[in-house]
Amino acid sequence: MKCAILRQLVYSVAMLLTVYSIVQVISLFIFSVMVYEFMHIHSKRVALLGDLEGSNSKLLLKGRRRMVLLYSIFLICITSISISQLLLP
Amino acid sequence: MNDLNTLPWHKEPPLAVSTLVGERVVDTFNTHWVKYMPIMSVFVLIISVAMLLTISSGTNVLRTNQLMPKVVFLVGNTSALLVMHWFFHRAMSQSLEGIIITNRRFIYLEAHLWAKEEMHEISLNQIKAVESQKRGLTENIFRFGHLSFDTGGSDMSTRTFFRIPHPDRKAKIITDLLRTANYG
Repeated sequence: MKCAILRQLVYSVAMLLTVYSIVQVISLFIFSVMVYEFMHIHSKRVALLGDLEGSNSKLLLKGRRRMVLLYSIFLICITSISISQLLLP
Repeated sequence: MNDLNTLPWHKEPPLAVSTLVGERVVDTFNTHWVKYMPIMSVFVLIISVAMLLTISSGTNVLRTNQLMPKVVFLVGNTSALLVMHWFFHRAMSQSLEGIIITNRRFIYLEAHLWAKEEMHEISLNQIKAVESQKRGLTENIFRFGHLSFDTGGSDMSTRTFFRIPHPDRKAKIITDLLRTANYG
């Protein structure tokens, strides 16, 4: 009886960890491709504004680092909370 | 800006733009920050519910023998991640909206990550009239509105751009440019 309960517990934990890991990996992948594309478009804007010389052209590019930083912070926070839910006693 | 020069994709040609002779940038700006408000409201609402679900599953999810806390935890965590990615996709796309006014043309840049990247350009010599509008309480309090260009011709010739900060000032800049260049 105990053995069956233990097996069921191990099975459910393995399932939970597998699904959780897959979700985290997909999430990290989405984060990477979004930041990559964001930086890609920004680099094109830099080139575009480089062609069109002007004194205040940097105004269009402000907020890039802040946005990526905020995105990273949110990802880290959500991941930390979920890991603490899993592991903390 | 220098750090971007080292990135591998920097060598790619920029958006289809060819610099005109004697062209210089007069003004560059992003559309008004109020564009983030609708998605921010949805984000705050859904992520609160999702995080509540995650936390309500209780600590030590791994050691419990019940199925329900595990399901609640997974649903909460996945929803939180999904809504976060959705929000930042929209926010980053909207942050890429930008406007460049040069002494020759008006350029509106628009992008949607992995979906579209557009550049609308109106030459100043096509513009017959500029119109700025601030309608309603929100637009007047936060000082943003529409900017419309009449390019002459048919009824479809009016181009309107939304969420422009201080549209009256921008209209004045363009009108001055038209007057200076003797286009109008």
